[in-house]
Amino acid sequence: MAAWSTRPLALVAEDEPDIRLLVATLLERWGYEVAAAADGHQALALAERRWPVVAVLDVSMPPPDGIEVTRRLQALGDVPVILLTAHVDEHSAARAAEAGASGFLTKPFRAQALRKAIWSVVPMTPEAA
Amino acid sequence: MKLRRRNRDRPSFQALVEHSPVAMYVSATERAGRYHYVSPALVELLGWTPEEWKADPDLFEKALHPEDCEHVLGQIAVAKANRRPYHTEYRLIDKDGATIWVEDTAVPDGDCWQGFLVDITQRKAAERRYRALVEQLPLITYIDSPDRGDGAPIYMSPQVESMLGYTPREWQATPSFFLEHVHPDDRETVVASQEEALRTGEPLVREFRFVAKDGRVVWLHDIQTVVRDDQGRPWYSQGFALDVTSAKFWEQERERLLRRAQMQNERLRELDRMKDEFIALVSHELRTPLTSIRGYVELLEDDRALSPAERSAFLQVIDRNADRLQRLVEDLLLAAQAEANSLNLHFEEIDLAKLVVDCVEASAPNAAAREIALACTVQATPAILGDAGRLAQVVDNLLSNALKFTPEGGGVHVRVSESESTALIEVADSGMGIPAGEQSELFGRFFRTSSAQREAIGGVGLGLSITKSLVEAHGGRIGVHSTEGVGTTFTVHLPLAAAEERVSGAA
Repeated sequence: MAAWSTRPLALVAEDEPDIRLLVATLLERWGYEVAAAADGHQALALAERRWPVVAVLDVSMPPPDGIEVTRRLQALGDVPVILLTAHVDEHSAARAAEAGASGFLTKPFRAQALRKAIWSVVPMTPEAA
Repeated sequence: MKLRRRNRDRPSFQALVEHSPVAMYVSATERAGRYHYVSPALVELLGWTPEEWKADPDLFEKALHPEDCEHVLGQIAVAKANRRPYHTEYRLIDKDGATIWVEDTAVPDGDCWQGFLVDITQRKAAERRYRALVEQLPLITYIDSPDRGDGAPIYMSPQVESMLGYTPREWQATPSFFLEHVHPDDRETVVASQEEALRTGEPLVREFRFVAKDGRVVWLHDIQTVVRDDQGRPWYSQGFALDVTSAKFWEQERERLLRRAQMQNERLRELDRMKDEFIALVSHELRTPLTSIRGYVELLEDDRALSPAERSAFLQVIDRNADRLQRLVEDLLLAAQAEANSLNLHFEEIDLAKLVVDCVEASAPNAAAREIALACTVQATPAILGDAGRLAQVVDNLLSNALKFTPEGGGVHVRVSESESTALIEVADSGMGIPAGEQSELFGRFFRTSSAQREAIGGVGLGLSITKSLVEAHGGRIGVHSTEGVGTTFTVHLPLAAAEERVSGAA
């Protein structure tokens, strides 16, 4: 596994450093190379440069927020997006779906739940291959 | 019909006059009282015989009621001068001394007046009764004549004096009296309603303020109707006005109470909305450290891939987030205590400079991580009385805010000095600044600046409200100076122990 030379790229955008590192560590364990961003601007800049196969985004981060980044990633080229949020109001999930997100998880989440969400949108995940 | 026939037949006018129930007379024009002829009906009416009339040229003037004498003789003199008929009403005292109201109509004929008197005593009595009734009512009645055109009423009931302080005479003397005394704010609508009523012919019903003689503002309810003649032309208008000031007062009072109740309702709704927002915010703030704690515990459970260094780092993350959770819970508790005025402070003598330096040192790693230059300048100040833990919390809160709202590469400067016989702590940052409109709300519970919300900077809006409560519980005061885009300085003044004038709000 360690010798995987062309690992698929996952984009992580999250302003909380501990959670950013958590998600990045999980994705690396599952065989992804990770590009990490602390806000929406960084996330979009990375996505435009490096074409991730999947993006895991926090909804409320410094602008543009996760919903807006999701919308722009769909315009950019149908990047599947899993949104994470600590807000549990009824509008969040609807707004996520409307923006084109493929998955939606509320914090705190189980590692297993994130893995399933990614499997369901990326047909060939490195671990499964 | 009878009359016409007699006319044709050239009947005896003498007989007609003699048998008429109307009191007729012929008198000399140069001397009003010199009667050439009085008809039997006139003899009947006043009691004096034709001989008596002829014998006494002054009889008419003697019979005239003293109060009416002047205006009647004046009117007759004017008619005589112009050789015009006259028509007037006055009182006569008859032979038995009874007062009789007559309507006198006369036309000049050569050097004589030919006239007749009609007994209108009953009509006058009825008029007097109605007038007495009208003048008893607790309202002002008035009659305006459109013919006069000058706006002064031809009749104003005397109640106007008790109600507004003006006498009817005063009122009638000035044509524009009414409009001049309408409250200036209502004048325009009063004029407009008047014009509207004239145009449409509808009765006028209106309420407006009127300035009484003593300066009181009286609310009048005014109802006016135009009375028309047989041809439908406006003849005169009449109306009445009621003093509705107290009704208006209660109406306004009721509206005021209603508005207050509505405002309270809105305030309650606002509080409800704030509570919902607060719960959502607290939920978010609790979930964030919890996510790290649960997530890193999961990473540690599957530790095949973990080096001892990674394991140690993950445990530190869990520890840090547990701390964050604990702080949040403590803040919530403290905010509740501050609200209930039950902050439990333990006062002791404190070296403020040392306390601040310790706080700044504790924040150094955080500042370094964000590449923010953290400086500290302290002057030794006399000891102050305070709760060391809570004062450290005050400094920590201000410091963590300054670091939170200052971009990477910025600076935060903490100073301690003695000023105006207080100990002064200043925490200045080169951060984004606070809009002037938000500075007054800054210390309110759950308040978050628009930029904190926009930039998704964490927090529940408790820090500054707690800080303010703690400072005030120490008898101190907190202030803020901020310029958007330049930076923000928080100042905390704490009383020196020697002053001994500490407000013991928390004791």
